[in-house]
Amino acid sequence: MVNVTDIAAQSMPEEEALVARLRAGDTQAFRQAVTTYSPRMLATARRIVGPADAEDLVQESWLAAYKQLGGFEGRSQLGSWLCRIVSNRAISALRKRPNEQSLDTNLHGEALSDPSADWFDASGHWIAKPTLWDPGTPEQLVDAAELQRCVDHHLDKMPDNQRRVLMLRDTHEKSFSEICNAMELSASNVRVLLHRGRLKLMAMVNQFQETGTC
Amino acid sequence: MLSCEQVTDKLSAQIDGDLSLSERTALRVHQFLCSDCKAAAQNMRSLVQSLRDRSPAVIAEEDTLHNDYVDQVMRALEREGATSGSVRDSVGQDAD
Repeated sequence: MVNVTDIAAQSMPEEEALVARLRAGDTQAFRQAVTTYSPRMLATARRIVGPADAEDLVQESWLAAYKQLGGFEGRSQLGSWLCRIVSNRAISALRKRPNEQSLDTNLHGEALSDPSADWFDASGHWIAKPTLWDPGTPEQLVDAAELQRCVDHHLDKMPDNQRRVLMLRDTHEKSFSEICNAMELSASNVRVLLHRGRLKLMAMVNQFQETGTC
Repeated sequence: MLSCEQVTDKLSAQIDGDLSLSERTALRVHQFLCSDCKAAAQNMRSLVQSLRDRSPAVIAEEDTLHNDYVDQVMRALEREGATSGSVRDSVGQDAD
């Protein structure tokens, strides 16, 4: 495994220079950008549409990025902008897919198991009281490389539907109606998958804060 | 008054703005009086904010680029007219 923050980190001036060269149609700049950013675009695509369609989706995203380069204002990092293009195209790809959801395998079982089921006693009071995480900024919360890896590990372990919902809603800020349409799930199912996915990650961060292990 | 478990069940709805005024008020009163539930709410808020616009931190084996992938994307970009130079000239250059 390769830590993408090591291979993709570019200073703002470097990134601005790269974008300028991309706009000028510099072949080497495109090669550099495709080499640098494709792995995390693939990781984003794989987590939403699955491994079979990830490469095609990322290639389409590069073509879309080329056409939209004029609209890139540099308010976000180039990598984040590219991953947003991937997530937008992933939503469209999911919408075009025949409904593959199996209620038995995806909506029941692990995805809907309640991670908080053993957090409370019979009267609904906390058994193990939650402690406030390190009161830094949200960015600081996931700054630690180990914690980042741990989040990815737990996302990868989630059932496909749950990971998709969590990524589309929380990472890519899609609306509930977009997610419901793309995944052909009811709003209530999407909300349950999302809530329990968040609780799973909360439990993971709690454990990480207490023990330092994933 | 809501139990801590009931409050936790509604945390996502609170963050997503899906609660009625009365539900919102009931949660806020509980979280004002219960430091544990207040901490849980703040933790979930931090988690959701931290996931926003987050790129994957780890590239799994399956997301590493196979040898031909960059060339394949470059050819597609060339077909779209993205590049001014000859992509063919640059294909495979890095591997040499």
